[in-house]
Order: sequence, then C-alpha cells, then structure tokens
Amino acid sequence: MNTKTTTRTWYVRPEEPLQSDAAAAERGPSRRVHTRVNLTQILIGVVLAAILVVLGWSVLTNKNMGWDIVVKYLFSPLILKGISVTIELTVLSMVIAVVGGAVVALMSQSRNIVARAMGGLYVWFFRGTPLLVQLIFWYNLALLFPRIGLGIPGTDIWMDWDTNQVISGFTAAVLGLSLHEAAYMSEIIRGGINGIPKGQMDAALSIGLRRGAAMRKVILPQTLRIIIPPTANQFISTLKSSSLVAVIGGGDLLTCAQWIYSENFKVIPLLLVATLWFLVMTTAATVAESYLERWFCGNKERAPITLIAPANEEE
Amino acid sequence: MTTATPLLELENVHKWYGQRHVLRGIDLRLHQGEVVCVIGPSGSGKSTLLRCINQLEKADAGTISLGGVDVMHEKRRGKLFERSGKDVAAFRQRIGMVFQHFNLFGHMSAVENVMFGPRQVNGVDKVVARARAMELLDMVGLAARASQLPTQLSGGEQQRVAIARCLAMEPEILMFDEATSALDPELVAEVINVMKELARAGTTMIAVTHEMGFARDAADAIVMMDAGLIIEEGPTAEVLNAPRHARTALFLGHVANRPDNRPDSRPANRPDV
Ligand SMILES: Nc1ncnc2c1ncn2[C@@H]1O[C@H](COP(=O)(O)OP(=O)(O)OP(=O)(O)O)[C@@H](O)[C@H]1O
Ligand SMILES: [Mg+2]
Repeated sequence: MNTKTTTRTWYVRPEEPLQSDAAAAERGPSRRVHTRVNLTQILIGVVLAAILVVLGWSVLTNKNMGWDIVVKYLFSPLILKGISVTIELTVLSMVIAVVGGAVVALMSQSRNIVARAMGGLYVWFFRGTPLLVQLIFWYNLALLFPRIGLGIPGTDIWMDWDTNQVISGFTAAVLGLSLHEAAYMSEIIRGGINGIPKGQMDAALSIGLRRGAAMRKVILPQTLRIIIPPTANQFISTLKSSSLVAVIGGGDLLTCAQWIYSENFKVIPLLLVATLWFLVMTTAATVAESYLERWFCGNKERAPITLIAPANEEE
Repeated sequence: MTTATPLLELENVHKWYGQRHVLRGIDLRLHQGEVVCVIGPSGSGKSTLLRCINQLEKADAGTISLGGVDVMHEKRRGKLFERSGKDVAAFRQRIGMVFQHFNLFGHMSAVENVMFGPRQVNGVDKVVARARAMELLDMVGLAARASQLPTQLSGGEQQRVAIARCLAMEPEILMFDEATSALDPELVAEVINVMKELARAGTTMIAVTHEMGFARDAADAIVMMDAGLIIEEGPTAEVLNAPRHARTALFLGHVANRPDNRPDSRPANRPDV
C-alpha cells in the first residue's frame, strides 16, 4: 500500500429517533464546574469600595451639606409645586414634540420639494441652536411682536393679546422645549420610517392600499416599535434639560429651589433637594421605559419552543 | 383562446432608471388561465417588468392593459392623462404579487396579514374576513399557525401566508417574483406545491422562477429575457427542449446545473459531469 494514503474512516452518525427533553434529562446532570477565584479582581473591588466609602462619608457628614435643611424642604409645598411643573412641562412639551416631529418627519419624506425643504430647514435651525438661547428668545418675544393676534381672514373675528401677558415663563418654556424637541423627534421618527424595509410598502400597495393608508396602517405602527426606546430617552433628557427654564422663571423644580435659596441662602441643601427629586424622576422614567419597551417589543422576541435537545457528539 | 382579448397585454414597454435602460420594449400577452414563466439572467429586468405591471414602478413608455383597459392612462376630452392614485390602487388590487422576501406585515399575525387587504381595501366585515382568511390559510396548509407572527414562521411558511394574503384579494392575475429563491432548499417544495396547485386550478399566473421543474409541470409558456428584452418566448416544452436562441440554450444549461434542478430537467444532449 502507498504510504502517502492514510486510511481515514469518515464518521456517520447512526440513525436514531429524535431526542426529547426526557431523553436528554436521562443523560444525567452535567459535571459541576467551580468558579475560579481571581485575586486581582477582588483587590480592585476592595480598593474601589474603600474609595466609595470615604467619599460617601465625607459627603454625608459634611456640615455644609445641611442634611437637616434638605429633609426640611424635601416635601415643602413649593418644591412639590416645582416637581409638578417640571412633569407638566416635560409631558406637555414631549406630546407637542412627538406630534410636531411626526409632521416634520412626514414633510421631509414628502415628494413635494417645498415641504421637504421646510422640514430640512426646521431640523437644521432647531438642532443647530442651543436650547438656552431659544428659551431666552421666546421669553423675550414681546420685544419682537408686542401684540399677538389671531383672526379668521375675511371675517371680523379678530382677537389679540399683549404678548407679555401670553408669554409667561411657563408658556415660553413649553414653546422653547417643544420646538427644540420636535426637531429631535422628527429625526427619530424619520429614522424609524427609514428602518422599515421597503418591501412593506410594496406589499401594502400591491394589495390595493393607497399610499397614505399604507403609511398609517402598515409603516407607522411598525415604526412605533423602533422609536419607543429613543423617544423614551428623549423624554428623560427633556426631563433634565427642562431645568434650563429656570433662567426665564419657568416655575419648574429648579426655579422653585432657587426662589427658596434666594431668600434663605441655603444654596447647597436646596440644590440637593432638586438633585434628589431629579434622580427619583429619571429613575421612575427609566423603569417605566423598560416596561413600555417590553410591552411593545416583547412579543417580537418570543422564540418558538423546541422539544429537540441539542445534539451531543461526545456520546 | 388566443383570439380572445388577452387578460394582460404589454406593448412596447420601456423603463429607465436614470440613464439605465432597464426595459427596452417589452411586448407580452397573457390570456385567462395561462401560466407563463419568465426566466433570464440576473439584472435582465424580470423584477422590473413585474413591478411595472402593477405600477410599483412607473413604466416610462408603452402601454399596459388589463382586460383591454389601459392601466396607466385614461382618456379625457381626447387627451391622455395619468391615472389617479385611486384608479392605480384599484388596478393593483386585481393583480396579486408574491415577493422574493415575502414582505409579510411584521406587526400582524398570519391570519391578520391575510384579513388585512379585504378589511382595509374592501371594508369586509371582520368576522367574514377572518373566516375567509382561515379558509385560505387552510388551503396553503397553515391553519394551525394562524396566530403566529411572521418572525415565528419559517421562510416557506411565510411565503405560503403571503400567497394566501394575495388570494384574499381575489386577483385576476397572480405574479410571483422568485418566490422560492430566498428559501432553504428543503422549503422550496412546499411553496412550489402551492403554486402548482393554483396553476392546476386555472389561476392566471406570471412567475419569475428558476425552478425548471415547476416550469415543466405547470407553465404553458416560457418567456426568456435578456438585457431588458424578451429574446424568446414559446410553449414550455419547445423552449426548454429546443431553444431557438443561443442565449437561451446557454442560460438553460447554467440553470439546469444548479443542484436543485438536476434530477429531471437537464437537456439530454449535455454530458454528465
Ligand atoms: N431602484 C432601482 N434603481 C436603479 N437601478 C435599478 C433599480 N432597480 C433595479 N435596477 C437595475 O435594473 C436592472 C434590472 O433589475 P431587475 O431587478 O429587474 O433584474 P432581475 O432580472 O429581476 O434580476 P434578478 O434575477 O437579480 O432579480 C438591474 O441592472 C438593476 O441594477
Ligand atoms: Mg429580480
């Protein structure tokens, strides 16, 4: 026999019935593997924990933190009022921003070139300017238009108001936040629409739907699932950036904290009160988000259950 | 049969994508009950042809008529105008299309996918639509999986749901664009069997396919496309056994050598490899 040809037997798995879970269980438990002890990791952990304890201790025991004052103001009526304004401001602005963002997104997807240009211009402007500048701008709108009027053309119906009365700190805050967030929301929604495979529109059209109906009934519902996580993130970020409205006396949590410390000069304790409440709100929003996500996106991940145990070649 | 008005008639249809001339004058006739297979190399314009027929793409020149009526233009006061979106949708409804990648609506279960068209487009009552959808799913052998989402179905199952979704609209013509080429080899047969069943039942069909077994069994005629033109058409047996165009012979040789087509469809004059 030629030395170069090595005899090689090719393995063929003998035929056998498909294994069920019960059969797999009969093979008995797998060998127990013990976790390795890693000294370096333990050491790093200990050092970090020590640093944390020292830092925490110095913060908690620092006289200037004024924890007694923090406790005193944590549930004071003005602070609670501020919290409710912050929530109102965030929810209201986000609702307006989602609706406005959808309109802008549809405009920038439109086949009409003017609509497309307007959509692009909007996003370019509101994403390109700082929120703080916009807020101050809206607050001072009265300098630009001393009176705001609403009327129906061709009739005598005409109402107008003194701008300074209409644009309170709160309305300026809602206006500024929602216009700003709408630009971001439109980008999120546009990304969501583009994330839907083109075939979905083809299929909807091919069974006889009109383009608008296909958009509403087929594309947008699927977009929802994509845009929920980034929208929730946007909500949380708005919750925090809404504190910027303090510069125009928006009446939010930070504004209220400032009002209080401008009288009693307990700056740090009141900022701590605000910080704690912001943490509570963002944490709650994060938890709510994860539930929302599971609720909307959950069934997509529901994998079919198979009864066939994975093949085990070593047997 | 050939003397009656064709159900679908294309005359000198052209399509450009920018500078690219993708369809260069297509003439095609399809009669009631006929099954036509469209074959041709990649990029020859087969998908574009089907998409132009139900106006997912707009043909740039030529006429396409369904039952003798121009689907793209209407005549008003002696002038031709583009059809309204409403009319176009109505024509699309009469032509079903099955896509290579199934395109089931991702947020709906199998049965909801099938009910969707009748409900949305024809306003069929929910109970009636569901009952009909279940019948159709049963026909494609998927009644038991009616409540599954597309992601929970295999490719072959998704494609059969997609066929049921088309049938729910009771189209006059069914178009298949490589309905099996995204499927694992073992799943191809289940879809092909449904297609054969439909052909046997007298459904008018245009199928872009490279499944020569299906063509042989079910097709009345074969249309061979190359570079945006129909280069040969004729009765199935004639085109497959004795192609007249050299390009067709070459193409059939390549297709026949694909493993899934080997058993019965290789031309007799080709030597064994
Ligand atoms: N949306 C598009 N924009 C530009 N060019 C396109 C577009 N769709 C198709 N084409 C081009 O048109 C030509 C024909 O494409 P088509 O998809 O009709 O070919 P096909 O015969 O279906 O090929 P395949 O067998 O690969 O599916 C190709 O050259 C392709 O690149
Ligand atoms: Mg194609």
